Amino acid sequence: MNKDKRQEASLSFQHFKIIKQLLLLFCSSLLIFTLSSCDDSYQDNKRKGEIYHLGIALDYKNTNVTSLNGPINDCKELSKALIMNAQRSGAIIHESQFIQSGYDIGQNTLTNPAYPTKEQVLTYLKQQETLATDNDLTIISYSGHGDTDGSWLLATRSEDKGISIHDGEISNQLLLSPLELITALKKIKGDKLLLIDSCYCGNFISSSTDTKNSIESDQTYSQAIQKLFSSNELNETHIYVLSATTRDNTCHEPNSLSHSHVHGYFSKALLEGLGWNDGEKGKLENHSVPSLIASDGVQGCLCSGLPPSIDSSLMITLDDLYAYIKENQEIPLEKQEKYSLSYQHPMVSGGRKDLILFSY
Amino acid sequence: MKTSILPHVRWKNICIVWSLLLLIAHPLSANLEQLSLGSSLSLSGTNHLILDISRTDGTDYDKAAGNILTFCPAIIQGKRRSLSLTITQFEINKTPLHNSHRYRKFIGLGLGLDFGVLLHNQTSVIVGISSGIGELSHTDNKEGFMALHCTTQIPLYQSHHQTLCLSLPVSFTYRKNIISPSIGVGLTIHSNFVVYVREKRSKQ
Repeated sequence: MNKDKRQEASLSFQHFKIIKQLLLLFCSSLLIFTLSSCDDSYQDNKRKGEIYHLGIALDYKNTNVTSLNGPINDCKELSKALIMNAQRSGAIIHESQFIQSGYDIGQNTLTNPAYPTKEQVLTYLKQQETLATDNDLTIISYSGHGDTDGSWLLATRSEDKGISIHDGEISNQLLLSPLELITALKKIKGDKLLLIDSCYCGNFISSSTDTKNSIESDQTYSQAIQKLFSSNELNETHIYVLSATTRDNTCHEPNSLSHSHVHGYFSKALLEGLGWNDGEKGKLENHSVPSLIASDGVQGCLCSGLPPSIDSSLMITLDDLYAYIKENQEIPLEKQEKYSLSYQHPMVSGGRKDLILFSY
Repeated sequence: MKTSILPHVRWKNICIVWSLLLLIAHPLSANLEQLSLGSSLSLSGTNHLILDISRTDGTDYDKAAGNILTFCPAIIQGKRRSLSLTITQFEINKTPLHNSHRYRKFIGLGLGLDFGVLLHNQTSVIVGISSGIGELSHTDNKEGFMALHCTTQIPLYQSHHQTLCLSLPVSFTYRKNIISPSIGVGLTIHSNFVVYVREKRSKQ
């Protein structure tokens, strides 16, 4: 009886040894595999091409539409934030600004090559067709009014005499539609990014062939499955869009009486995501140097650390900015029925790829 | 009464072959770009519950890491065949593509069926298919996916209520125009919980 027990114990011990060996072998193979996977960080993560930025902003004070207080600040500070981030990341950036500011409708203003008329914007995009290469990134940012189809309301020309709206109708000559802009962008090589802070700007986001945006749809599940089995090829236009709001909603800026330095809600959060501190009340006020108005008249500066939207990968991407804006914008994302406050839900273009803006 | 069937399956040879395969295939997969390698740990209860977690690390897309988790309560259980429900979780992490793009993180949840067969040498083969929807993380964009997985479980050590198996999962996850294969190696513990509990109660 005792002998049987001893034999059984011996067998159990042998089995235990075998299991132990087996586990050891398994763990060591896992360890080797894990160690060999540690080269995930790629070697050269710097952008190879150059960055072109065109900032477009209008305050409409020389027209008969409602004037805005945020766009000029949005444009100037975004331009500077992009320049300083590019410098920090070692990227080359070319900067242009088309700005309409103030009440003047004299010839000096209207014939200025940097006056944001539709013709000037299309001319710039035409030039980009020859300038940009496959590795380059062209960023177009816009702060201003948007029509119900998302079209940008650009500056009046000399023949308009400051009249944007005539008998309740906006002149088509002043509107740059999503179709016109996207058509022009498709001809430009490399990546294209639109940063839009205007009403109904969700219209610039075209549907992706592989993903379905869930913000504006109640049937996301069935539509996403339909896309999985549809025969449409992937659409690689390399056009990325970050919009302040959806295609059916307006965009807002705070009241100038309560804010001495106004930004659109979207642009304010976007700037903060890029690490820009304008010195006003905001998320970045506690961990940045005090704000100042620089010699170029632009208020604010880039905070000393890495931008707050950045993740552990030491690169700032379009999705990082989108996530930061959603979390930090000072206006509700969804309609608050109880208080009937304004709201705006930003959107980002679909597809599987995320655009890397800067690597640090 | 505990029995070992280790000598029959030549466990050492299997482990050595799979370890070598991992070591050889991993650098190769860097060029293949769509192969994931990994490990799996499963816990299953015959006739009642199967929980299978396959961790895949490798080169799905460019350099990816993901999980495939299946949870399979059995629907029909025969002596040698079983049909069970499967809930699949599929994940691809953010992966660098090149210096100006990276792939977005994808987390999906699917539902499907698993069909299992027990072969004569106690080896079981489980084939499953599931389909579901996932979100490209933080982007409000949804995407459908379909997963086909096959797991071979070779018994290494067997007691009355528990069986330790070498688990070799292979899966193919289809997203629009992209098939992501992954292979793994791991351990599965089968435990017949209910029979064990019944016996214990009857003894009491």
